[in-house]
Order: sequence, then C-alpha cells, then structure tokens
Amino acid sequence: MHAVMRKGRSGRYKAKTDRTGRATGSRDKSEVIPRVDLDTGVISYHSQASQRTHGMDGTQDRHILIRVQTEKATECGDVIQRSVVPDEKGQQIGESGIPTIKSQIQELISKTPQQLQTEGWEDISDPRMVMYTQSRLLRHPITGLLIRFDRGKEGRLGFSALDHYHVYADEKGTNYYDKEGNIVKKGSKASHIVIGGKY
Amino acid sequence: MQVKGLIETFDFHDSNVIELFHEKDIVRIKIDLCMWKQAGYKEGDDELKEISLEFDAVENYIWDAEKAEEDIEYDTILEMSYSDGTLKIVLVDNGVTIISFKCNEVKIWI
Repeated sequence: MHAVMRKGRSGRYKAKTDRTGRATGSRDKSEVIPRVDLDTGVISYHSQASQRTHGMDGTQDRHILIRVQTEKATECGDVIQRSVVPDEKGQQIGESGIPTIKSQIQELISKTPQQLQTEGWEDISDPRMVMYTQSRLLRHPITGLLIRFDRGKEGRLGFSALDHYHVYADEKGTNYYDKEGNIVKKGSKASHIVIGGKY
Repeated sequence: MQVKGLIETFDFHDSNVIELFHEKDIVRIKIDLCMWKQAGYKEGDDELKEISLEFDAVENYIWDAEKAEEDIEYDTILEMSYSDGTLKIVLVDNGVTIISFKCNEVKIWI
C-alpha cells in the first residue's frame, strides 16, 4: 500500500490517501512526491527524473531513500536506502542513492543553463542579480544542488572569458566544488566549471 | 590612480570581498583578488592575493542589501563597473548586495 505525501499546514509532509488507504493526489513537473509503503514503512520518491532511473521501465523497483540534502526532502525525514541498482545512464550512484557530485558535475559540463531549465532545474536568482548581472542561480529540483552560471566576457583572460558554472558546496556558497567533486576555495581557478569542458 | 583605470586594469569578477569600511567620504575595501585572472599572471604563482582599495572624496554612497556592511563575509564580486563617475559593485553570497558611489580616484595596495 502506498500513500502520496503532501505538505500540510505545519509545513511538513503528510500522507494523503483515500478511504481505502490508496494513494491519491497529483504531481507537477518540479515536485518531488514521496510515497510511503504503509506496510513496511519504506518511503520512495517519485518524480519525472526519479521514475526514469528508479525502475519505472520495469527492470527493478528501487526504494532509494536517503538523506537528500534538499529542503523538501529533509522535511520528509531521513529514509534508509533499501536497494541500489546501476543507473541506466551509467551515472555513478553514491551510497546515499543519488548520483555522486562528480557525476552530477560531469552532466553539467555539456549543458547550457537553458538546457538545464528544460530538464527541470529551477532559476532561483535574486531579481537584482537578474537586473544587474548575467549570472543566474539554479537549483536541482531533487538533489537541491545549487549552481551559479556566470557568463564569460569578451576581453577577459583565459577561461574567464568563457561561460562557466560554480557548483556550491553548501547552501551559502562558502566553498565550491571543482569538476572532480572536490571542495575548493571560492575564487580559485579549479572552482570554474567551464561549459563545454574545454578546461 | 583613476577609478576608470582600475576597472580597465583589473578583472574583479569572482574575487571576494573580505571587508568593507565606509565612513564620511571614505570607502575602504579589502579584496581577495583572483590573481590568475590578471594580466601578467604566471602559472604556479598564488591564485589569490589580498589587496586593499581606498576611495576618497566619495559621494552618494548607497548600500543596498538586507545585511549591514560589517556582515560582509567573503562575498563574491559578480560585477564591478564604472560609469558617469559612479562605481557600482554587485556582490553575492546568500543574497545580493549592490554598492554604488561617486568617486574619481583610488589608492591601491597590492
């Protein structure tokens, strides 16, 4: 038996079921829908992205639930991973059940911000950032990974002239990740993830 | 040096502000400058270097942010531009900060 979890007035998720206990409710593209198996207590997440990688093709039912570092997921509580299967795209799956940072960054390198938004990344830029700069802050709808896109400027030296991302190692962006998934200092050369992977 | 020259000489994008001090008509900014983005940088040199800028005879100082100047904590410079005698600096950390003021001259300590 599964129940769809919905945000209640308290801001926390609560199960939404019909009289028989069956799951009800709808979902939108960007929403992560946790489902709880009321018999086993195992919770699984369902979204466009997770359905694709979580066995909706019938290969295997994956109940990966995890300490996902997103606000939404945290509100659902921490869930223990039950099983992990290789991702059909060959992404490396970490112990937590989500692609490793390195794997996520490798995905970014080949994509423009527009392509990422098509895939569901949310533009959460401050309006003044939009007004005064060509930078944009994007958040992955499931993992909560934050990245900032900076447009390269003609006339600058080296890859400072090229479009690049900064991948935040924490919510505030105190440090960034390099393209190998290592935490590096802000301002360092390694913190620049150049789109196209030239560097 | 002239502020116009400062902007033309240095690339401040992605450098980080360590602290900012404003009193009367003086603004001092301590920056961890991305040396690897500057002309003359050689591979193997330090990528970051602390520098200080001092602007005097500042007018029309505007601090537009949810936090105070003293709460700057290694905020990243997204843009630093100079137009019509006004320097505009856009910083980002948790939020966005816009600083602008009129000025002509700047002293720089590298």
